Amino acid sequence: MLEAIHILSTMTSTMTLGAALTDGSFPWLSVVTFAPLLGVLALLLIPREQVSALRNTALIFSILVFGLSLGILLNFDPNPTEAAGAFTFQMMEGPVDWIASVGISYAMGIDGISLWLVMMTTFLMPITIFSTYSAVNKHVKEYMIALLFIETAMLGTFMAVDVFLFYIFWEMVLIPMYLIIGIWGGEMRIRAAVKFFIFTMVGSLLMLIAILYVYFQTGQTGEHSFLLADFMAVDLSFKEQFFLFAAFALAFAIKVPLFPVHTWLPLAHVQAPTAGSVVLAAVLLKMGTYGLLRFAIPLFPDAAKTFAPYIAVMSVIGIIYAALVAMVQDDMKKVIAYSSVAHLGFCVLGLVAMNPIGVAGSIYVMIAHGIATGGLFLCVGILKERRNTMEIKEYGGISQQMPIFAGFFGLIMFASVGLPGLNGFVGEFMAMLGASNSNFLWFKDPLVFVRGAEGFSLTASPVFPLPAGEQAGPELTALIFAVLAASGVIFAAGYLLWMFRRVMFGPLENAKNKVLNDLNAREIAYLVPIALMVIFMGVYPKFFLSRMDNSIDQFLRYMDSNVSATGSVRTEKTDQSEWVPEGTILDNREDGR
Amino acid sequence: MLNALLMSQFSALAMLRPPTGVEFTAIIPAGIAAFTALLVILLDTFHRGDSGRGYLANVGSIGLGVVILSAWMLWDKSLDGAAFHGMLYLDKFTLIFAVMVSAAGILAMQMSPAYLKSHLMDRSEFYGLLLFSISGAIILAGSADLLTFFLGFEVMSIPVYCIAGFLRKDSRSAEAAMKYFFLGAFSAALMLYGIALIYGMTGTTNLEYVSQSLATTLMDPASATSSITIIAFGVLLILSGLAFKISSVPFHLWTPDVYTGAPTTGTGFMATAVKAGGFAALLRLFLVGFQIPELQGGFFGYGWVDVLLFVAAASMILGNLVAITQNNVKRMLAYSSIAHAGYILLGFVAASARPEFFLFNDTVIFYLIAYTFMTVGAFGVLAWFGRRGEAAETYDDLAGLGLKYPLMGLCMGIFMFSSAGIPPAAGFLGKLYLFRAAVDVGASTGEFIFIAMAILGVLTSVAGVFYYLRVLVYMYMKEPTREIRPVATRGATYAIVVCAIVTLYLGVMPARVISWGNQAMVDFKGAPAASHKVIEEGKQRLEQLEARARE
Repeated sequence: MLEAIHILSTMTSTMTLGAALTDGSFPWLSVVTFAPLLGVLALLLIPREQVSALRNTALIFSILVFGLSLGILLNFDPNPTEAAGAFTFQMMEGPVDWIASVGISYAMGIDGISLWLVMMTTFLMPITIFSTYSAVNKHVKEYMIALLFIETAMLGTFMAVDVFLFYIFWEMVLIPMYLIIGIWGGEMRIRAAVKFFIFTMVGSLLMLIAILYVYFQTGQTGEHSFLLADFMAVDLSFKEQFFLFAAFALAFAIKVPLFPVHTWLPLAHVQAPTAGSVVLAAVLLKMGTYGLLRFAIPLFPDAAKTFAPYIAVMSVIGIIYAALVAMVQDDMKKVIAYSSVAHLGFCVLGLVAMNPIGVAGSIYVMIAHGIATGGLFLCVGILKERRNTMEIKEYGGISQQMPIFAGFFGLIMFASVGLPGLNGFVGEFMAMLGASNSNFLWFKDPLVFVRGAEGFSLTASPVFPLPAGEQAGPELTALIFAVLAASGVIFAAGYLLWMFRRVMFGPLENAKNKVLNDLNAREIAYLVPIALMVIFMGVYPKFFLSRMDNSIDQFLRYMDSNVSATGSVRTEKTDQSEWVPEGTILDNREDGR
Repeated sequence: MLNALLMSQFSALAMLRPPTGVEFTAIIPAGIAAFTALLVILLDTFHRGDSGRGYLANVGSIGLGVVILSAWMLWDKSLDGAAFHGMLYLDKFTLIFAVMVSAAGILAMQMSPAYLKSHLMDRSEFYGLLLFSISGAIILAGSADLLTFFLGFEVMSIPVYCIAGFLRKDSRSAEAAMKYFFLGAFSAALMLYGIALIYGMTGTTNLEYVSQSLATTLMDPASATSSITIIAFGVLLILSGLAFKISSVPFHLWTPDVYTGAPTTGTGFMATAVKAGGFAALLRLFLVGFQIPELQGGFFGYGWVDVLLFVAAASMILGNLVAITQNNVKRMLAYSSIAHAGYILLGFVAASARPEFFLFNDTVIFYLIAYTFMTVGAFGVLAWFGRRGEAAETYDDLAGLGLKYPLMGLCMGIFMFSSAGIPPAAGFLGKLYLFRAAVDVGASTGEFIFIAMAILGVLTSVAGVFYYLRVLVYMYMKEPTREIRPVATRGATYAIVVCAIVTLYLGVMPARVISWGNQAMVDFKGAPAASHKVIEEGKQRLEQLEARARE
């Protein structure tokens, strides 16, 4: 009798849990975010001598987090009932009072923009941790703790819906990354770590003041709040928007990194250990672009319109400049680091194009770049483990010695170059297409400081006063951006292929390279998921795009109604066939001939 | 008018009655601390043999634990007026400072036994002096009269002079004690002169009467012009005495030398409890006694608010910039404590600029609590890493220790990230809370100087990031240069871990402590009449929040 009751009660409890998993009452987001911290607790209990137990525990927890994050993906509704404002968050948790007297609350949510960033993070973390099994031998415990800690912070950054919560997670990311670079990095690791930290900190503190300023404009009744929705409701004058956007955009531009503030990145990448580079390139940089998309642009739409062409200029300069610099590097990691700057340039260009294809392409670049560049860093890390050097001239003819490695490296490298059929192509092509027919990237009446009777003031005034007929219209400007960016793709093919040829092909001359072993089972095991994902994202982008379409559409409609220069935002919804070239073959087939 | 006021006071004095029983609760917290100090001295006379005196630290800690317990029991029993004919307040404000300094005392005491032993100075006086100093700080926080204020001030300060020179065989410690004592005595004398001037102008030492009398004097243009100089001079002298105690800029010169020379755990105590006591006195004196528009000034109306604005800005800039160039961690922490004094002053200045911002003073309380735990902890780690007869002082001494002693490394990491103001540690929230108050005051009064000060605070704290991170660079990213045998008892380790846990707790779940700060300001006795309206609103808001939390 007792047993029967017991079984019944467990059955009902599992059934209610089972129902809860899908009906929205299970806190998927918080569970996924904080599950890595459970892993940290488990690691703390394991003695530091048991290195393999530490590694396996960290790996198991990161796989567990990936498994849990599939729950988010399965519960995600691609066509949700639309909420007011710029974003429709699903699976909302909270807002729960956190520090009630200041109006800080705990609120998590997810939409089509953050979904894939979250998935990419959880997908890459087990791979990253698996790759450190032989690379890191000192202070393994601390390393694993740092990696799991940073996973929590990154996931929280992408899911926070309260601006203060976002800021906390955003800053929390710095601590483990600083330690990862500084403790396990290369020779100049201390300089790299401090530079990374100070650069990011300067930007984020100015953003903090800007956040506080907006915070005081919320809730005119005296109850201020940090919720994103309340921030959106604030009505700001153009002058306020101008400075607030500048503060936000500086913080995000440093993180991306955009052209003039990118100098911390190559140093940090080269000095960081492999896992650090992967996390840095794949996820940390995306926090910058994500921040632009989620906070800076929708909070200050008019200022975004003013700044957009300048941001586009910086990203195009970044694309070309980084490609040229990458060509002359002797160090493989530096080549990949500069290629990151270039790829992120496409991402930002697509973002400020402010039309469905551009923004979708931008988000796609974020994910694709995360997977492909993460993979490239892993491949280079494999070489580094064997030879302990990154110098290109130390290598040559490696493909004879390591054929399987050559296959993986080549595939991922082509994905990064942007070969059609692999994931790099889709996003970059869409971003360029978006930029080429954007109405947003137009230097009409740039703002300048003009000395008037009452001191300096911001005034719209053309820098090159041309007659109206001779001003380049939005179409031409956008096209120039797209054409310049496209030349960056050619450069990318140049530097990556050239690096690949010098490392993998040619005569096998260096005696030290003649004894290299090909990939072992562990290395194959963590490169296979990346290779599969690279191909899958390349041939079936619809799987990813269909889940972000609604969010992008809503975001653009919000921008359209909030930017005072009407017609600058293009909001026609894509059905993903728009960017498929129309040709006779397709047309003929549809005619049924 | 003035005469009538004085007469009313004298008639009150004339009807001297013995204090009622309930008034004696006002001296309970300070009394317990002083009693424990006597107990420690008494116990020591029975000490025989060479066994260590670490147990006296436990006796002292238990005594301070009872102080905290008494604060908890008296929390809702604050007295309406000042006890003992206008001498001592007992309100939540006093109690929260009693808890703060007692906690600092417990932690410093628990960190001390092994440290003192390794310096061959294992003597009971250290604990007795700490306890006396704590009782002084508690009296200071509750002072309702310039005389109790001065009494508390000296009872707090004199033991600390002795603590600074406690390692008497060490010439630097002797130097620290001399320097601290002479400068401290000088500043106390200045302050006493200021008190005399104020007494001369008002004829009373009771703060509330001082406030009324000053307001009356300054309201009348004729008497105002004749007396404003002397009054302002008196206020300025009192201000400089307090600025010395909280080590803010023009009066900071003693700080680096004294902090370096004093025994490390004692430094941790004087950097936190004495500073907290100084701020408690600052709040009491200036909010109760001198909250008068003519004296306050404001945005460059040349009152004490403007003076403090300058002091805060100078402390933030100088403290942070000079700290960068230090090679000695204790000196670095000394300069950083000057910078922290600047941040806290910014909060106080913003809150006291107008009566309607009165409640923003809770930012001062919250920051002080956060600062107490992270600073005592940091000094504790330095003491922990000492070697027989010498403490870890320079950056090189710390090289490589973070990974060798992971627990201490982690704790020091938390303290440094917290001091640098990086989430999720307490220091970040404290700074945010301060800057929020400053930005709010600036936005609602339209006085840009407060927003500018917040931006200055943010920029200088970027400089702060640099030198705090340097500690971690040495601890984690350099190879060890020397062997150490940690001079630490289990109590020291626990105390440091507790500091780290509290620092994190305050950063992640600060709501409760913030609400304590709010309650302390709402319950602040002797608040000026102009602030009563905000205080009533604050009370209602607290009740609302409690109701919301209960749901």
